[in-house]
Amino acid sequence: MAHRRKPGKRRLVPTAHQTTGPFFPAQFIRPADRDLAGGTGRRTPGEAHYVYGHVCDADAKPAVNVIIEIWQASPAGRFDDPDFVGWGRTWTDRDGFYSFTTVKPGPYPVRPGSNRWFAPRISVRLIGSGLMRPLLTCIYFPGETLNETDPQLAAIRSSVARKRLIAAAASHASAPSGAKAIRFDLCLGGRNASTFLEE
Amino acid sequence: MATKRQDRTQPLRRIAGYPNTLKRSGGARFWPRVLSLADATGPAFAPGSVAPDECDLSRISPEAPRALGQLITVSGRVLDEFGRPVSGCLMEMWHANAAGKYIHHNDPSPVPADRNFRGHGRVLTDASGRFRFRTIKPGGYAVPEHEPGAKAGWWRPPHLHFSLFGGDFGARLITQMFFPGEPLNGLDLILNSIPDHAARDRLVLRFVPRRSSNLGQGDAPLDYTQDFVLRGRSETPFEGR
Repeated sequence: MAHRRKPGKRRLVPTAHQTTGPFFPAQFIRPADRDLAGGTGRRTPGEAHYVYGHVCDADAKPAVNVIIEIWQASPAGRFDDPDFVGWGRTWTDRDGFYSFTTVKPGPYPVRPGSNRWFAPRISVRLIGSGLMRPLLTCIYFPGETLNETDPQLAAIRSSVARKRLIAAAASHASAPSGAKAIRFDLCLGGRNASTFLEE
Repeated sequence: MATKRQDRTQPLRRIAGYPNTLKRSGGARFWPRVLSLADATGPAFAPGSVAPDECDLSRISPEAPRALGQLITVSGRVLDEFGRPVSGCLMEMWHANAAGKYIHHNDPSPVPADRNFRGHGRVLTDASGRFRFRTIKPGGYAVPEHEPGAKAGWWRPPHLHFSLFGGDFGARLITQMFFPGEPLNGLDLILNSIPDHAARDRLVLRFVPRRSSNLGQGDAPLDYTQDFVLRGRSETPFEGR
């Protein structure tokens, strides 16, 4: 049964994380989960993007079988758009590559009514074998003016770490026609580790 | 920013003897996360999006023969940090068969497969945050030692894998549940990577003895229970939304 954090505080302690291990069922990852632009059966109007990248481990070897989950706003900057499910999931292949197709999210205010904005971005959670807790990061889009004033980017006081959150403009043969390709590589540990955010 | 104190109720990221954790633990530091609407929201799952028979891992379809092993039920509630039920929470469960083999191309072990075992299932919690799975008790298994640095003689205890989608992206939980009284529990690198013993104990299912007669029950399951607690919305700046 759930336990109280401290007597009188009336907060329960969140259940501990554990790794997925290497046997996450393939059946849980459907092809539609990596196509956010058309997952509800019709194409979402917006700027189509093919987001892909390579994931390596601390030894710079391909990180295989890493599950990548994403959550993003609709092109209008909404998280409750009935015509757009902003959630997706894919995993890295035998060479450590992943990809998904989506539409570029809109910016959204820091708080409802605020005039400070988060730049267009995609929240990312990595799970998989050897990840005892999820790793959290964000994908920002290259060349965005709002990146200059984004509160999350501003909170990272290292220009090297900050730049690692911004994808690179790229091209890819698998990108659907009309979709812009952006590349966002990840490194799960070591000196070249990606910029991961506190849980 | 000062480094946050280690939360003893959560596992260490790096485990000696489990090489993949050393290669995939993130960098030397983690950067401050600015909470936003993206943390206070998450995908919603319609009640009809999960079929009723997906809660039964013990057979591949309702009419099919059941898998070998001890039939069990696993039930409980999903709560937030304030003890409020989380309804509509999508729970994914998967585990090894009774002999200790997964249905997965990554499992090369010579342990026999069981063609009647479904191996994975899903449920949505009801309005009270309750869930109930039916399955068979998984077997333990020897962890392959082919990687340099892997602990020799490591066996995983019988365990169930869970993945939970709370209402918020931030409430997502991936964990494992263990069985009470298993001698391998005290030796498992993964369970024992949680420093706090009470937090470890909350990953061990409780056995619920049957109060009624087994007469006429035929192939009756043994019942286990445990609750899950997801991180609350209160951690976001959108409390009360």
